[in-house]
Amino acid sequence: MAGSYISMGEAHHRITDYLNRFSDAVSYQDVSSLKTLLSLSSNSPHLLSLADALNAHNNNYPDIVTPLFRSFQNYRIAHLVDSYVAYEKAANSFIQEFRNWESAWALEALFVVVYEIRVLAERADRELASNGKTPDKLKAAGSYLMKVFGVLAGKGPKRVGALYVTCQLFKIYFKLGTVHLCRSVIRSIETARIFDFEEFPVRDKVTYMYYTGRLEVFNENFPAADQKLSYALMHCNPRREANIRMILKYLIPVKLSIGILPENSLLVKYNLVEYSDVVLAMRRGDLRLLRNALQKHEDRFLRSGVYLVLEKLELQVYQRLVKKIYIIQKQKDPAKAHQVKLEVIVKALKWLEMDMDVDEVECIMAILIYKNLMKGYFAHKSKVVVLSKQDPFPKLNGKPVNS
Amino acid sequence: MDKETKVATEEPKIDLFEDDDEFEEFEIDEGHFTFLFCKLLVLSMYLIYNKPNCLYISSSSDQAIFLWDEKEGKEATQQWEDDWDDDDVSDDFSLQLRRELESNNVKT
Repeated sequence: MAGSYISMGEAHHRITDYLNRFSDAVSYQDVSSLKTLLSLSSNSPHLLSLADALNAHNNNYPDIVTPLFRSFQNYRIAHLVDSYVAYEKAANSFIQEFRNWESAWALEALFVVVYEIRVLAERADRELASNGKTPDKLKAAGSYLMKVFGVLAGKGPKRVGALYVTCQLFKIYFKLGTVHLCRSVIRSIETARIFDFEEFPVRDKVTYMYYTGRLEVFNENFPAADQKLSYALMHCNPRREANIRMILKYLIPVKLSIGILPENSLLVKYNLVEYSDVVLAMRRGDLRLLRNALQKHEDRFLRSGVYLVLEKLELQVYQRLVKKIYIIQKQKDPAKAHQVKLEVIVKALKWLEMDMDVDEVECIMAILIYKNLMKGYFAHKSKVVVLSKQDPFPKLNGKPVNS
Repeated sequence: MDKETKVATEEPKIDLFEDDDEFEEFEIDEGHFTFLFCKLLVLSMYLIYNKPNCLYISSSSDQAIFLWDEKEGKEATQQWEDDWDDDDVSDDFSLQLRRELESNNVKT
């Protein structure tokens, strides 16, 4: 009988029939039925026809498909941890097969696996946490992705997929708060000779620059942060307003740190008005407004990690305030304008609800001079700042304040 | 069915992190193309009559390519000022500052 045609339907029927018989045998503790279902060498017609059905419609990739089926089943009934475990098994089998396929034809399918495993891991972790258990699936997904990265990091055509995997890894590490782990994969992308950054698809480059830009902000490397986040902004699909907004959320503090202000229309368009008062404070030299703005949106700025960056803008606001005092004095009495009495600055600060004595103000003026925000020197005895006649308030010119 | 729930005594350890600013996924084809190889006639007629800033066309029955005018992409990159630090003191804040400096308030 082997070799005669068995339809899909017939095969399915025989398989289902066997499964039901097996299940029933166990449920009813029917040992005699169970024995016949297990007797391989008995050559019973029933088992032979089942075997024919199985051979006619082969599961060619059992290592992938069988756990995959289990994953689907569990997903359907919202057993997300079990679904994840099964999916990870299938994914591991998949990457083994993928390795052996010479061309990069299945890359997009691999991307799907990578994406799905990450998102499923997140949901599995939520299920674990809600049951009072330690969430460890997202971390496991990270390990899997590193494995995939290793498979793609070679000389062949598959290497253009490495940046996609990198970005998925970034999302995992950022979510877990283990951003230091980004370092090794960044090093691979940026220094390994097999990779040419320009070869990667734009969408991956944009995502990559966004995340590495954010890392530069955390590390306060503002020129690098500016370059990366600006790249992301320039090349991001303008229809993706949520992503543009996220880029700007980090780019704006960076730009402010190098003395560049966003137009208010930009803040309004992308709903980043928490920065409006900060920008206005810088324009005016209004220290009170800056402090209020930082206080008002403290939680938000702390959450995104830009609070310290914004707080450091205070020096630039001091510079602007002193500059305005200087200009006002110059309009009244040009000859003596370059001498600014500390008590005048104290008075201005008091007006801005900042109670400081002359010594504290002297300290701040010293810092401004040290950081090249102000050119001049101190006449300590007479408590006067003597400003340079040429360019007393040097502009940042796109560079951050000297540290 | 008994669910064993351990009371979390060390909350921070099993606390799940969130990233508020996770980038949204891009489509597989999403990127900026400078050349278009198909359906040129239809495309050029569309452009003549509609002059869109962006374009969404299908190159095949199940795939779509999303294009946009690079100018629109540059929009967000051009709304920055680097010449705001001027010598103008005619704004309200500066005028109030001037008044304050000129006043002879006695400090208490």
